[in-house]
Amino acid sequence: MAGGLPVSIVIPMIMGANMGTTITNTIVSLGHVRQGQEFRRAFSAATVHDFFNLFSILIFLPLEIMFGFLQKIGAYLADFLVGGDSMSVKGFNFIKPLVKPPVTAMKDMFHGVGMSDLVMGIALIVLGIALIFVVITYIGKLLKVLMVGRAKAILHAAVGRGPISGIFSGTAITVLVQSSSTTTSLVVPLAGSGVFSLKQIYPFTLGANIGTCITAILAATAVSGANAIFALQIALVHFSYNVIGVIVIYGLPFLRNIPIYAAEWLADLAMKNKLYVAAYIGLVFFVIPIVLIGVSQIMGW
Amino acid sequence: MGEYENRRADLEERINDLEETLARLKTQLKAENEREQHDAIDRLEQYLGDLDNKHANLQEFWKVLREEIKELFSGGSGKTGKDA
Repeated sequence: MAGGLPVSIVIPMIMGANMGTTITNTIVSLGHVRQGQEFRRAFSAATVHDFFNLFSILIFLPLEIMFGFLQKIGAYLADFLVGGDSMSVKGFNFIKPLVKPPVTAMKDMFHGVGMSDLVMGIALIVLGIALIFVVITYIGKLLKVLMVGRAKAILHAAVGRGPISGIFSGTAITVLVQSSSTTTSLVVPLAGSGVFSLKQIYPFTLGANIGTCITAILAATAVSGANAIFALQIALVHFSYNVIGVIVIYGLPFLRNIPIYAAEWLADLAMKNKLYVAAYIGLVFFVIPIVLIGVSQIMGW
Repeated sequence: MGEYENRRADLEERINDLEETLARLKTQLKAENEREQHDAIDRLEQYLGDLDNKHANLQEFWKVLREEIKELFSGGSGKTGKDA
């Protein structure tokens, strides 16, 4: 169990989350809707990510249901990282050493002014929540400014270096901005302008898939308690799933170009009529997931 | 050297020249593409601003979709966009 949900249930949810996050760059590509060929290029750059993730689900979900291989890999890696004897990732938690000194200092300060434990606890909770809001607001603003400079440097370094460099730079930027949809959305206008081809954008979006899992692994290290190992296991399942997906689909030449062909085919249809775009978004992101949830409820899966 | 050898040597020289020119042009094209890519990357701030316009993007798409549906049912060509 991972905080109440069995790991076997969480794995398909991870696959769905991978798919769901791709709607952001698809919406960004819709901003080019009146720009003709620019829209075709931007839309195909956005949907190549969707098709890769769809294709990944089609390959790995049946394998996971039959063999549970991702669950086993995640469990093995989590066990390997934190040790088989202890089910706690306390020693692996890098957040606590950073947070503990200021919390201890504040506790001492509150005790110093004669606060009771209850009042001090409430004060710390209120302060903590307020601090989260302030920090998130400022981090959001700062990240945008800081990230653009770094992202530019990473992208400049990747120009003319080939697909492996594209995957790594996509990963690096996503780790930096902690959002795969921001990374993949940023490259949509680059593809739309025609300066970057779909084949050049494709590895970059795969890197974004991997980068977002590294954020989840870092977050999992901050979870403590009996279920901490499962949080890490889930994060590692997500990481393994995306890495294996890239190795299998991008690594095998006969599978590599299928997402590109599918994205170009859909973009050509989208140029003929935008109803195809509406149908695609409606079906892939709303109708099919709702139908599948309904069917699984009825069948008791 | 006979006439055949002369013609052959001449053709081989021309092929070599063409191959050298082709290689030079390919390098030039690659450099030109990469220069354009670096320029596009330098405009990343502008693209980042566009990420906040998701609602506007959906509204614009909805307008275009309605126009195309209208055209479809009125027997029009159904093409929208400046390049279309």
